[in-house]
Amino acid sequence: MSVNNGRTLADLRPAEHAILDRLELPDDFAERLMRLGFLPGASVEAVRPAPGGDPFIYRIDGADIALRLETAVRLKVR
Amino acid sequence: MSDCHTETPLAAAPPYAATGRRLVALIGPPNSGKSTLFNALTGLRQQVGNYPGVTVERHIGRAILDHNRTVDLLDLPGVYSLHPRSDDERVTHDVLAGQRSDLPRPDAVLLIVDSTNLERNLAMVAPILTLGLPAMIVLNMADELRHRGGAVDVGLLSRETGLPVALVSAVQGEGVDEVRHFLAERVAPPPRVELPVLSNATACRGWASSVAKGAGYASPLPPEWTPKLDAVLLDRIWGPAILLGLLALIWWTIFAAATPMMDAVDWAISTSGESIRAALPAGLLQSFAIDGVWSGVGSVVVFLPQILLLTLFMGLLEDSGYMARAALIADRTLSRVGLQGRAVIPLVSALACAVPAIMSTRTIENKRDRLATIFVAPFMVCSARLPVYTLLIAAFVPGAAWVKAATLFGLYLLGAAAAFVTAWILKSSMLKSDRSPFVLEMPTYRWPTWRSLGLRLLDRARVFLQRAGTVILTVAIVLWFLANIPMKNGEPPEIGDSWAGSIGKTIEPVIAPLGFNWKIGIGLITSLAAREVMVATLGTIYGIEGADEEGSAGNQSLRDALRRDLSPGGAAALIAFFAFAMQCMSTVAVVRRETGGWTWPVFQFAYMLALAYGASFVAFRIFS
Repeated sequence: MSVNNGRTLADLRPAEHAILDRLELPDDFAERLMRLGFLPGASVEAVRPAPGGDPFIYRIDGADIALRLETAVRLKVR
Repeated sequence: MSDCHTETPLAAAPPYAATGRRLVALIGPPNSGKSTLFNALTGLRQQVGNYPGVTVERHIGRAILDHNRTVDLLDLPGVYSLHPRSDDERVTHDVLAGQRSDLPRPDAVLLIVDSTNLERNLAMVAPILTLGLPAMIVLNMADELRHRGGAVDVGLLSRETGLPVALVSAVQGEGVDEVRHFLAERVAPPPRVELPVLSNATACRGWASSVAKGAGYASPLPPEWTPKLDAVLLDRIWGPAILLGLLALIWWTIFAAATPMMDAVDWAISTSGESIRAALPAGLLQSFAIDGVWSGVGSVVVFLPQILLLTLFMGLLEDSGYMARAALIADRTLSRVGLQGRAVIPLVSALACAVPAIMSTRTIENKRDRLATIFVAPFMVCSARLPVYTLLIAAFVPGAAWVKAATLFGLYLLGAAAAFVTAWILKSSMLKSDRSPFVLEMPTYRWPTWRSLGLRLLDRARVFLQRAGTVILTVAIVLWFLANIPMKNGEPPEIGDSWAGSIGKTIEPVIAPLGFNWKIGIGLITSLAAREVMVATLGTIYGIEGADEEGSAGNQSLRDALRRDLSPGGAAALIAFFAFAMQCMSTVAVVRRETGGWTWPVFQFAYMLALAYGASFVAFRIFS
């Protein structure tokens, strides 16, 4: 899915876990996501997609949060 | 700083600050049960809607404490950044910083957090602590925390934060007295404990972790039912099918199940109308009381059961947590027309009423997305259209109940289609913007409480009856006079010779191409105030025409009268007109306020009127 090198949130399959590495997003949006728990170093689980495949629900810091895949590809994981 | 977005309070309504009452603000992340606690503290004394002079629609309620002391509670939108981005955030920030002219700085703050996810919630409210207001931490959902095997030491948390802490289950009323106790005290000065500099999200989260650890917080097990339900409700095939099925079921129930209730209300109104008629001497007074006031207002009150049923369903969807799933399912579709999934909440709320729907667009951060959503929300079939649709469908659509229900459902689809096409046009022209980010939290599923549903119903009923008692009553009275002058030899004129008739006949040439005669024309003019006035107007007009008829307050006679007077093509055109026209002064007013000027409401009104005229013209041709 991602054309960049490195794995992103969008590469995770349902029930797969990863550690968030960095947010390659405009500062405003990145800070908003960080306030919701998307902090570098946090553990993320891909939960399930919406029926149409996009957006996708991720579990982070005990909450289920839906992001569009276009956002998820900007969140690098390790 | 606050001047750029606050309006000067109206001179007639003194600013809140002048009341000199104590004010405590409630703040908490979404889904922390803030409204439930607000309701538990204020009960039925809450004042839903805007406080006079407060230009922000925030709930203010009065909590009665011991010894008849009271304190006013302000329900603020749940956002926590000190760098506000959305309008909602700006409001919260400015209120807490004491930068608003219409509200004093709150005397204290209740920080409501979801105890089942303490660390995350504490991190979200942390920036508020740096404002230095006296505060209490309310750990809500205590019952769920225990049930799922979590624990927290309230005393330790209090020591860690330097703030009073209460463990509460707002739903069950547990611990609410402790909150009352805090509200009753002259609240202690700001925290004595050194707070770290909470300048960024990472720092806030780190602080929250260490505080939770210090308070011996044990995370509960994950919710048991939410993933199981999501597996079905967000299934590739079942998900959209259940969403559409639910919507269809709701509309069918509104149409079919409401009928006996409506008949009962109708019977009560016409029976009481007849006994009033019998008690009054025949003549003008009797005509005014029955044909003007009683049948005018009564013909609208009949629709209360339908509106309450719709409100009940909307409340169930929201309180259970399903609405967020609906937004998720709809995001893909909405993104095709340039909107985002979050717009589903205003758009679905608009099925009840466009006014709160337009206010709920404040959560959409992108200005252009927000304008587009405001612009298209009035196309959704609001509850004020229901009386008109119901009347016309009952009068003109032949066949079984399901045919009529399907017709009504089709009208909901038509409204949604108009909203989507308009959004697409706007978003690919004047409101073009980059795709805005979509972030939506999926709350844990919860049982809706009777209390919360009951309060929603009461509120809606109150607003509806208030309108029936003010706007609709006024229009009914004015219309009765216009229909009864000029008098000839002390007798009221034929409706066609009255002033109302003249007005209708003046505009008849304009509306004749749509299949409307002058009587419908009178209704079109009066319903500019509010759509449901149409039914009252027709009631008055035909009530006067058939004054010798028995029980003219009843909707059965109104249906018969309409069938005599309107061709099927005209009826289709009338439905089309109501589907598209912006006949609601409240909506115009709220759009003006939310967009900060007359440009958008005027453009919106003109666009919708042009569309309504065109659609009626086409509908008349097709169905004739």
